Amino acid sequence: MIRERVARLRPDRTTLFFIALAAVSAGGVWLQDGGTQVVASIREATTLLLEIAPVIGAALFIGGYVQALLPRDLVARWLGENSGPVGYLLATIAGILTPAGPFGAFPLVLALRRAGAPFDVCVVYLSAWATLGVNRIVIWELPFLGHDFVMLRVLASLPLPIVAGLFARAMPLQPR
Amino acid sequence: MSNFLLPLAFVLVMLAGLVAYAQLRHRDAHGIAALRARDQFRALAPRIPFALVAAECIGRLLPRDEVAALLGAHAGVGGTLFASVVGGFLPGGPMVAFPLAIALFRAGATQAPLVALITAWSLLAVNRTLLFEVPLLGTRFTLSRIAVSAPLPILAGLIAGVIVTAFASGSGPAG
Repeated sequence: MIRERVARLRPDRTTLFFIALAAVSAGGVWLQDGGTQVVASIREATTLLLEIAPVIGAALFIGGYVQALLPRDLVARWLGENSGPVGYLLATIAGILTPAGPFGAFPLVLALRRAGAPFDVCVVYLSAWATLGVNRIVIWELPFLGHDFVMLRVLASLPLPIVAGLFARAMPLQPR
Repeated sequence: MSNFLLPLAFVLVMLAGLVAYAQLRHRDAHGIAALRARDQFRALAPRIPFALVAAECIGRLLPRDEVAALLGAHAGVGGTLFASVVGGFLPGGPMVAFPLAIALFRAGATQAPLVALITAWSLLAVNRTLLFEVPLLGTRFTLSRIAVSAPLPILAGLIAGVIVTAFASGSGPAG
């Protein structure tokens, strides 16, 4: 029991990577600017953490509810049956609205493929989710980068899912 | 400072809507949602503080002159190309990419290359591709998708550049 708990506390590889990255980069700042700047960096990071923590906390629950409530098969059937401009538009909207991380989006694409959706519709969906997904914009991008930049990036990204879909359709060898 | 109030309001409204819907239609969703949220929290919580410290420190270590030359106002289309390549190979999730984007901003990068960088990272994110896409959808699907996505960051960067230039030459405020 106790051993299990200790094992659970042991950081996984990704966490170890971040710990090492933080240590090395803090060491670099210490060599370049001195110890007070390391303290200043940690203070800046703490402020940012306190600002984004409530948003991320709420977002974790949103992700949980979406995974529990999303009628995956229904969405997949609905997108699988529509190709062409209507399919592209539906896939774009679905991608923008999928309010979950990769653990939500990729299983949905798998369901899409099984329901017979063509490659280009899947590409439109994934591109829209990756570049315009409302979830990541609200939780990560707005707090970090501010609305001026986010608006510029969203405007510039609006055509991307459709362009990606047209590229995908033109591909000579379609993945089955 | 108000940057995070709008997102907070948004996520709280959204969460309230989901909780209300689950309460009315699928009461068993509460338990599943709490379990999934707990699992995600356990994975993320230990990483985020170190990731933020690392991003802040890397920002201070970036050579300003080089960043400004490669990604700054005078880098032009080359800056967008360079940023697309960097973004495509950028490892890690949003807790690395966005703080790094702030750091690059502070070090003199301009908006169009950063749009390209974030677009490239969001479309090609190495970790996500290896952890989720390849196992679930297969190598063939993944490679095909990456092939058709490769030009998109450059396109987004060029469009952003056009928008920024249009605003800068008009009477409106730039960025």
